[in-house]
Amino acid sequence: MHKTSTLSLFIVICSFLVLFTAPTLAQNSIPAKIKKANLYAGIDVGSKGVKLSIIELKKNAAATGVFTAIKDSSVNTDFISFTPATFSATLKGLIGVYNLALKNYEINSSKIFVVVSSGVKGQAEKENKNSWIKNLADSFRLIINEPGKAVSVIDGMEEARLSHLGIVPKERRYNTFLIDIGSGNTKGGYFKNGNTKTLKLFLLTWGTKTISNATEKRVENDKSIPNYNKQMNRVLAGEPDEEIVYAVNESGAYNMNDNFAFSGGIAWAVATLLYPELIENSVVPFSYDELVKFSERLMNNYQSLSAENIVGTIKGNTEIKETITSEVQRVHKVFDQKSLMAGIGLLIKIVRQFEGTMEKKNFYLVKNGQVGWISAYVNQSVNP
Amino acid sequence: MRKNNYDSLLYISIFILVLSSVMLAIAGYQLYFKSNSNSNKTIIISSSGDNRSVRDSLQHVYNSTLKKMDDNVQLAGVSLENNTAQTMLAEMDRLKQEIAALLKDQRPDADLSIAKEKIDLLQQKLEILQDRYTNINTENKRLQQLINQLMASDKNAGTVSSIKAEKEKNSADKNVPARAAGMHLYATMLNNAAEEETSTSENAEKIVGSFYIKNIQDAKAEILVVVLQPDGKVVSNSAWETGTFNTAEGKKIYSRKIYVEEPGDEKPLNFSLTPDRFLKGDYTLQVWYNGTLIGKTTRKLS
Repeated sequence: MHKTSTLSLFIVICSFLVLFTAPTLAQNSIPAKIKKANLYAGIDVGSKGVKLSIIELKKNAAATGVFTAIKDSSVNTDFISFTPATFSATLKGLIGVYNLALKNYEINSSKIFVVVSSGVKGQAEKENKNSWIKNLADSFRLIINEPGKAVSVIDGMEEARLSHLGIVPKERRYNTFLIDIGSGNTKGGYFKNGNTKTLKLFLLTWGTKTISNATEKRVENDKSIPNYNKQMNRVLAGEPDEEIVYAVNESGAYNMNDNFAFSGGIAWAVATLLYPELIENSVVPFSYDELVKFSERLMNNYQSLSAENIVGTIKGNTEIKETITSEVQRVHKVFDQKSLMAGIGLLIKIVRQFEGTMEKKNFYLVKNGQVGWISAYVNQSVNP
Repeated sequence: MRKNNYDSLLYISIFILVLSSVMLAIAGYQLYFKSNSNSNKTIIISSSGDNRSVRDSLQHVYNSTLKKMDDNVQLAGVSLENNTAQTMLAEMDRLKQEIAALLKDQRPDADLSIAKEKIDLLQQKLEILQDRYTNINTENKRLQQLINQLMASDKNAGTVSSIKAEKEKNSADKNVPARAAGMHLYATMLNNAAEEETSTSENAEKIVGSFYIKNIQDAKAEILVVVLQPDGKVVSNSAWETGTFNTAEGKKIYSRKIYVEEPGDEKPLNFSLTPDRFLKGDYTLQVWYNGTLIGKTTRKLS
């Protein structure tokens, strides 16, 4: 009798162990090859929303700054409208991504860094709304019950410096010019003096959206693609051209750099559509000629850039095909044909300035640019 | 009464155990097939038991290789006086004999893995030979057409022979295709701060390769190195070093780009790669130039 009860108890314990451990193994959101101890989270409270970056700092991160972006998720909240509704949405988003890092990725609070980006800082200063940032930080601390939790605010220069440190590997740090093509402006720079304290800044008041808006104003009733292209070239040949030539010459970047890396939404879009085979790579090399040919294809054969047609050119590996399909579809959700043309037109104009006949420069498209600065911030905080 | 309670508990426990086992089996099934979904299909060499089916498969692959060889030897016939071609054909003949002998071994426990390795090697040599002579054959056809055109015109008849001779000379100079030679590929491990070669994937920390290019005609020629791991994926150090290039077979991904600065420069070109993990099986080094495969070698990690 006693033997039977012991056996029953043993079977029950084993059953429950198996029953509850099997689903746990299946549901773990951290890839098996990643060590939890190396995981950190950076939360960026930006103008448009709150962004969480889960990054893995590898063992040599202190020396090389090497990181791997594991997860990049964002919540659109439009904080810089500075209304009670957007404040509330931003706070909710902030708490949400904080808990995601804490619970789903099991990252200790001390390894979760919260930073308010330069866009928010700039707009708050302009509108005298600095108290909104302070209130957001205080409310966040209260809800997570950590009165001492740091919420840093950084400026544009620091953001550009951190972007360079986060994106460009150490061995290319002093010969790479990093340019972020945004929607409203283009900014970047390089480390001119062999140290990472000061960045030689590069700034254009033109971005993909401003080129697109200026073109739209000129097209009038003829909404056709050939007319859009004609008007866009006229826009680019005007003020943007003068500004680009001046800014490039003033930066002295051509002589001081071998590598020119472009980040921002348009860089991600081109990299995804032009080099689908390298979908898993965060950076892809490109040439000026390839870019020009791509812009012609975009204008004359837009259909060839559909997810279906792009995936059709890929051989084998079904898993990669699925990733490519979803990423190409994401590109088409963010950019339509005309906005792609505007972005690529601006990109070509800038790249042309660095395309030498005597000296060959290397060009790269950076896909995860938005993760760059927050990753460098985390790295810098962990390895001061 | 008490016995009935224990029995009930036992039945419930057995039910939960069966349910758990089914779930575990499903999880195991999914895990197994997920991890194997991308692996390439290869001929499995059994180490024991009856290997008749493996022998048959190898014999089939060997026969197709021989057929391909016959076709290509005819193609290359125009230049068989060439020393390199003769050496390569002699090596291939030797390999043929060795493979035939290995496949004749009818013992059930015969180790057929050596036969497979030798067939792979034979196929690689055939590929190199094929690449080399395709260009020559194309150029010969073009020249023949030119000669035919010139001969059709009586006026130019007198100059035909001199043009023919000159074209043939130029063709001989320019159409000796570039090729990678002295190819080495191996894995290394650190032993007391010194790098040592290793043949096991468990110990491997780095892949090291070297080769040199013969007959390069361009200055600053772009040589693309492709290292494939056993599952067919391209090995690379960092996304900054890799990229795509076009070939007749479509776009490919390279592991590294190396430049040969001067025409005719035959200095050794070295590279190293440090993948996150090493797999058991064949690592393949391919060297490409102008969209053409100009050299290939493999190295097995156990």
